[in-house]
Amino acid sequence: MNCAHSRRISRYADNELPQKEKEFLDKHIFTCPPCLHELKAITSIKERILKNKVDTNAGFFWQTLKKRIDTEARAVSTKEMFSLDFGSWAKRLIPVPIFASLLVLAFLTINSRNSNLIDAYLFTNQDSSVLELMDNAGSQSEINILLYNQTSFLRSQSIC
Amino acid sequence: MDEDLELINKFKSGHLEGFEMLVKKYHTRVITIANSFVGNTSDAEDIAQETFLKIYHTLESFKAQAKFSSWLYRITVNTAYDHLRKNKHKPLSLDEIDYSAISDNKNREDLVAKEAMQEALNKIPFDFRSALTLKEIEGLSYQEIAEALKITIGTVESRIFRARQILKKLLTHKEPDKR
Repeated sequence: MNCAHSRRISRYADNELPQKEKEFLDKHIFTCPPCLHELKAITSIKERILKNKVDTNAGFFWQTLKKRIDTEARAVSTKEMFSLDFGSWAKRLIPVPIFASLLVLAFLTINSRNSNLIDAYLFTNQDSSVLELMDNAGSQSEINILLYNQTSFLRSQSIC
Repeated sequence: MDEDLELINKFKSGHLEGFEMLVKKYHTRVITIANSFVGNTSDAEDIAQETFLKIYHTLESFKAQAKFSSWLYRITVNTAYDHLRKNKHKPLSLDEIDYSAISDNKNREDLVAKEAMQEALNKIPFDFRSALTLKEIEGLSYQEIAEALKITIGTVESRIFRARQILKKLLTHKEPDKR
């Protein structure tokens, strides 16, 4: 390209120049061999690229695409079905272990509190009357009755 | 309201026919654009299918701020680029182009053939080829190409100009100007 205007020929060939510049080049091209050569080259390239246009069957293309869309839709609905089932089961199952854990925790806490009170009583309130009764108890069952009475008394106190 | 928007609204209101009409209207252009990147109809059809699947999944959220065709062409170009990348057809940079290889063993008649043109197109960097393809095959204006590729009009002009310069050199078997 030996002409200062030849770089604009690409845009001229695409009809993208302002009107004034286009009018100028309309005249200039036919007096300038480099610009004319550039225009011919671009026109030739345009024609060759257009020959690469592909002809396809619209009906077949759409049917293939439709099958893919349907297949995807089926896959998505199956996935959603499973995820929904899991969701509902999960909603039902999640409270069960939580509730059971809370029950166990409450039982352990209460039990531990009462046991501690009884132990504390037995170790700190070893008053003579109880020890004497235990000494005089004839059998294990009498000792159990005695302890039961004492612990019942302690439970009633702890509740109050 | 333009025809494309009517079809989009039809699709949005639950009628697949709206989408079908869009596919039938644009599929040849999409395949042709894809073909200019990959050089074979089979791959080009795969790219077109992928493109329309993406459109199908996102058409619901399409807003009429841009032209549907610009949006479609952008997705086509991006899908073609992904295809080339996945298939290791690395887009060439200007320095990597082998200008002598294209026509060493081919006579002038071969250069006129589709294959020669395609081979030359394949050697143009992807960005340049995108702009040139949209210009030559779709006949889009520089403004429309700028919208589709999200670049400036000046960049569109520059890319088309340089793509043509490379094609000229490839097809006439000469070394390009190094810039």
